[in-house]
Amino acid sequence: MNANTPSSTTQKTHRMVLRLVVIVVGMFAFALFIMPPMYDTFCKITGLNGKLQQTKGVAIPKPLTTKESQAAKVTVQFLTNTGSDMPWIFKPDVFEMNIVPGQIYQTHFYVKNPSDQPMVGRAVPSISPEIMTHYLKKIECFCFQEQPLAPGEEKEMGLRFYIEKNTPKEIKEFTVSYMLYKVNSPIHP
Amino acid sequence: MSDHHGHDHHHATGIKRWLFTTNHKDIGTMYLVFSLVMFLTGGLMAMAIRAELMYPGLQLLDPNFFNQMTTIHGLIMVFGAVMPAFVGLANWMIPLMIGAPDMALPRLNNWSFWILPFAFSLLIYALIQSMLGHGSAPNFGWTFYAPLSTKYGPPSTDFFIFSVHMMGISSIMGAINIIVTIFNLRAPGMTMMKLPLFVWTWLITPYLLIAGMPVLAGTVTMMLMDRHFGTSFFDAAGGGDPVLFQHVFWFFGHPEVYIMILPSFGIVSAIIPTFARKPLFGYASMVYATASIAFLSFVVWAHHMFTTGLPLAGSLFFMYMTMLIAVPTGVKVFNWVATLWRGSITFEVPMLFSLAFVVLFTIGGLSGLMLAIAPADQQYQDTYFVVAHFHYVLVTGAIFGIFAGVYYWIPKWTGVMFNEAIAKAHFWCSLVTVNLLFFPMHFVGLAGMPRRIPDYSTQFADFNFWISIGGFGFGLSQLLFVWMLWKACQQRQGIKASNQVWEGAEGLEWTLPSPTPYHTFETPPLIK
Repeated sequence: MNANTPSSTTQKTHRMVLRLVVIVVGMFAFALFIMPPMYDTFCKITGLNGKLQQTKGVAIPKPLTTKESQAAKVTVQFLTNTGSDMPWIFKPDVFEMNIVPGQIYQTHFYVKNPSDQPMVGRAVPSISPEIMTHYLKKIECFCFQEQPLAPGEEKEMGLRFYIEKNTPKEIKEFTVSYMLYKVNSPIHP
Repeated sequence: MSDHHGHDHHHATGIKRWLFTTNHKDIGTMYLVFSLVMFLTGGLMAMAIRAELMYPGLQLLDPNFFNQMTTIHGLIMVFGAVMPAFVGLANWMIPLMIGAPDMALPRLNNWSFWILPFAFSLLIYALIQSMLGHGSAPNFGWTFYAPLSTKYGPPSTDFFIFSVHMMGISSIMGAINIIVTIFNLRAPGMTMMKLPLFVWTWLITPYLLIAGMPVLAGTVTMMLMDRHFGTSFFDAAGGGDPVLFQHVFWFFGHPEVYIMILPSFGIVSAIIPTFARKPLFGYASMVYATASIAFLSFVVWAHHMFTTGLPLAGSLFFMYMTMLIAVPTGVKVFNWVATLWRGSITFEVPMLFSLAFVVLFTIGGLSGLMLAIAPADQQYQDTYFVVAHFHYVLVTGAIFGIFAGVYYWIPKWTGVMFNEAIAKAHFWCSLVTVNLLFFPMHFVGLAGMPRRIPDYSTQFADFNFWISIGGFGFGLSQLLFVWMLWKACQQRQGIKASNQVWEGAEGLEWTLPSPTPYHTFETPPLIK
């Protein structure tokens, strides 16, 4: 009975409540402050969700020989979309390209701001199938920066890219999709 | 605690008794009454949904209002009906089962109950405003996926967010209270492996609550910040990701479904041995099975997300982990059946509900296994097959468990036997209609009828007509339950219940007089 005197029970109760409250606060902090950055890092490392690895210095690859390039033709398709409150016209100049791994290609996307206000847009890329996020390298892309457009202004936005030579052979085509969003509070450096 | 001993038997009367009570029996009763009111409210919404779906085409409800109905129905049933009913049973029974005078934190207990009516008023207020023509109540489904609930959510979403915050606080406080009570207030000699299984399941469930509910609170906090404070947790335009929402939501959401079923396992594990007149088969394995289910529930969340583009390795991991849960669940079902084996079985109403639970919950578990198969889930995702699955585990699982528990313990609470004719009618009507209601949903679901849509292709018309008939029947059957309760609460009516109540019942609660006095076990009983 000694272990169950009221005061020792109260003490035990307080200690246990404290411990449980720490778990509660910890789990809340975990959901709010740890899970999102963890998820982001995880997606960046694995290339899931079409998030590209942003490498700093890109080594220019050597072109394939003619024979190699005959064997390894890959089709890339471009898709464009705009967010629901984004009035811009946005489309690729070419919808499809046949490319050879290891060679650098350049293409353009057309964009126009038909509204009567200056606006800023930002394109968010997504690559499918996701395995291609490891092999597609962009040397220059309009999606790297925010794009300001004056009222009525139109523009050709460039994309320079290549896919690596060791791209898996079973990949015969892949899609690069851009979603263009309106930026409400643009970052002015 | 210490000043709560002593023998003052005079307590406040009238409304003050209920507002200021710290008595676990009063609070348990309030939880149970609250959950019944919510069950009937959520049921009315289900009736509205079924009325619209009775015939193809749009008849009664505006599609946006239909969406509000499915949303609020889900939220009310999960957070307002099932969870408070279990907490109410825990409040009533745990101190009686472990020989404690009350819960360890009685004032906290009062607070955790009284938050709930406010939380749900906030949610229902949004719906009433919408019915009066002012804006829309939450209409994005009970899973409130972003961006439906962030960018496209109606202004009332903020009511919903605060309501969920309050429900979460209430559940967390209740959970802490229960854990502390079970660990610290057991009567001398009541060792852990002597605890009744209802107490064991209610020791494991609160751990799911304190690990899961804060994550839900975090999710709705992120939503609030996305909506009003310019963050982009779930907004791709600002560098966030809507899929992250689904990960955090289901990280809470999957343990949540076990929160809603584990206490039912405990109730059924108490009832079946009583009416089979045999001790529970495999007590220790039941405890370990419950603990393994609880552990596994935290590593299976992405099986709700097979169609979001998970990598193959991820799909496989979550698929295998989910299937693994069938093992401890199978152990439980096996133990219940083994308890029945060669028992002297009688079919009183609590037993009828428990037997229906074992059979029908197993059906729900099996369709769950089908849904766990990642490639098959690509087809089943968001169809009525899913609706059939989770209603089998929640209605014929959780709610039948609650009915069984109420019928089992109500003679102890009121001191009179319930009216057996009404109770049996309630059981048989519920059993027939619930299967008419949910079984055909498997077929329309496999044939491709999507959930959450107020209209459907005419090929599904006949099935949906009968589903709606089943729905109305099941709704009406619950009035029998209300009638039974009403009669049981008129203390003079009915046969006086003995202390033992049920011939084969074992446990500390049956050593107390019926009805239980206001204060019990003020000196702890000695357990042999």
